[in-house]
Amino acid sequence: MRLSNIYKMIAVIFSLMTIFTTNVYSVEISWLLSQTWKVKDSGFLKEFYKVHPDIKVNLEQFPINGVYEQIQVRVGTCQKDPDVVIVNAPFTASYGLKGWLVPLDDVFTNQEKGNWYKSSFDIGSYKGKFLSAPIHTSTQNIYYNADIFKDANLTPPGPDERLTWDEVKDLAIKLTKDTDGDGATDIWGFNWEQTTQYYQLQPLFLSKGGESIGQDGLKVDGIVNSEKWISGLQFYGDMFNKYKASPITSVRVWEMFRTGQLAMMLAGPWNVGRLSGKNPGFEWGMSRHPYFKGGKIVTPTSGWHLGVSACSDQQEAAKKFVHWFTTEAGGKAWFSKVRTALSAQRPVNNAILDDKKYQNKPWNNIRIAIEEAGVNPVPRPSMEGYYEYQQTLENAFSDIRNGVPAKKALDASINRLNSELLKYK
Amino acid sequence: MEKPLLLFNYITLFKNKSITPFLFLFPALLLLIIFRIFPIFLSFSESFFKKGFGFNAEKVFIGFENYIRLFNDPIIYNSLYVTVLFCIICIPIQIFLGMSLAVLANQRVRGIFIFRSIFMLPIAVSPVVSSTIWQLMLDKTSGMINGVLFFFDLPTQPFFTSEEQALGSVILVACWRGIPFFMLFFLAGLQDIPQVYKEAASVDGANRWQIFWKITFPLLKRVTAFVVVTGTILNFVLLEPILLITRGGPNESTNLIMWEAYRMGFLYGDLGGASSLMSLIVIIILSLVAIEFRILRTDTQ
Repeated sequence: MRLSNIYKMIAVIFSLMTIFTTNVYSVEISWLLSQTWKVKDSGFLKEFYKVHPDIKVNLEQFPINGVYEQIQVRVGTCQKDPDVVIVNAPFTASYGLKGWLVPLDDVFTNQEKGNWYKSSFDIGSYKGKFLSAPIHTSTQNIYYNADIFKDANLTPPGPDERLTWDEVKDLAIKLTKDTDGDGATDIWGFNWEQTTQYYQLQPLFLSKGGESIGQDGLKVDGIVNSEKWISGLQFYGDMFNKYKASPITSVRVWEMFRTGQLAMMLAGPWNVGRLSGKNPGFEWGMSRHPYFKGGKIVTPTSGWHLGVSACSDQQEAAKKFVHWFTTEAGGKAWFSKVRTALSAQRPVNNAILDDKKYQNKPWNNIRIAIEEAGVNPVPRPSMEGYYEYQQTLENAFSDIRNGVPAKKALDASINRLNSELLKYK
Repeated sequence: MEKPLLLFNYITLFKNKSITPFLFLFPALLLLIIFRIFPIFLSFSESFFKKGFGFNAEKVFIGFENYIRLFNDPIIYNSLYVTVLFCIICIPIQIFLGMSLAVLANQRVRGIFIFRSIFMLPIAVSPVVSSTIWQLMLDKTSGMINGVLFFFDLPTQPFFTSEEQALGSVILVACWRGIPFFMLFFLAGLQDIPQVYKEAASVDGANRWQIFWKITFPLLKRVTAFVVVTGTILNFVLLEPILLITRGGPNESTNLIMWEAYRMGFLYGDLGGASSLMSLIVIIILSLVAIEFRILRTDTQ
């Protein structure tokens, strides 16, 4: 072959390579998120690309503890990526103190800001700056397996019925069964979906009249180990160890419910989508969040937010993505394509209530969740040391679930909390 | 006996312009300096500073304040106690069973390679995978081990979830990987012992037990020293089962010192505290290793 022909061939190959590898996107951003969110093939990002065809979003998915650690290590050391991170709402203050997130005040109009629930907007702000835009708000409802109730000759709670914790306990004990007589429990009565998480267990001591933390956001002694906390959380420990109506297991609570091994779970609205999208093979229904008799009715709230890393070199594109995602169009796409968690925006939730799809069984259960979200929701404390606070208390909750008396576990957590929160004084 | 090369031998070697050995050593030495020695010095220097919150926060020299904070923290004492307890139980088990398995695997019987391969399998499984498998196997409700206990009408056990059993369960996970790892070194040591010594002892009327104690064991002393030192280091800085299974609980009963340092640095962003704790760990390990070398030094060949 002549040399000139070889040059021509090389030129053609390079031209073809250039054509095929040229990106249609002018900007790429990376988004750090939980691996439980099935975004990749959901069509959610396609909706975004319709509006912003020039911005490519690359997903970086990790287990949730991994997300926290990635933020700590990568954003905390000012790496250029990820550009967008999911933010557990009460962590906003901690990230704000460290300057890890870019203020988003100018990204949203006042009307858009007004569309969010006030508690969601407030917890996304730190020292007057709006740092994390809310995706979700949330609540927790009792989900029950009606077939298990029927087999036990028991009546499940109605959609507007709010059981006391004692009633939940009595039902759970009756529903816990060894069906094949081999001495091992096959059906468990009750469990909390996020079994040891602060978010899920906060109503236990708030319902007893307890406080989350001192006014200064640092005082824990006398609060975390108060009688209100101890009695609320001892009830929680007793469900596993004394009444043996809740399982101590590493198997996911949702999996146990889905496979008919759990009669009741206290769980989030995203389960409406899981159970409605694919028939689980049993009748199910929903009821309200329990409370202690004579105590307050308290429900968990808040959820995930989005933030833009202060060290991102694609901040404008990242802000466009956050804006689209956390306003109406993105909120609707997220709910319908990825996760039936309650939107943090009223217009999205109103649109869901108006949508015919959500007016018929089983999808209409989402209405119970939306209504419940308005019943005395109490967010987690917004404090600079929230991460340390949550981690330490979740270890204590885990110990209580595993049989350590609540007083002992909470007393023990005081030392660590004092030690970890010292740096914020 | 061949004398070890002392520092002046190296200098003489260098002066004589025999640089070939240095060239061979250089790449490994360079990597060692970049990835091991330099971070240790960096961490040591970091431990004398305190940085406020935020990227632009000033880094302030605070002398020994981080160390004083550690020495006043009951959590650190508990963590050290748990780590020492873990090592005291775990290392002898690993060494005793590692050596015993090596003696068995060193037998000249047909098909011994199959047993050797089976014994080695745990090393082929990554610590992350083995920790996850053990977590599932020892689960209170659905774990296989509790299934077996239940089958024999024995009470099921909260292996990783009870304060009394969690450390023992972590020791089990550590031993499962550690025993075959150390067996490998003992096996190499055993195969290095000339058969003629044992035959001579046998001719002199020694039984198998006497041969082991008088011939094999003394000749394994160097390998044992290596295994004790390596075992101390590896177990002192063990992290995976704690990170993946217990996360220091229940009630801080498995709060090994490495997890405490990880938590401080990577979860709570207290780099000064974590650096001072890491520096303390390095000092403790170096002291232990020095003592072990002193006790186990041998001239036996």
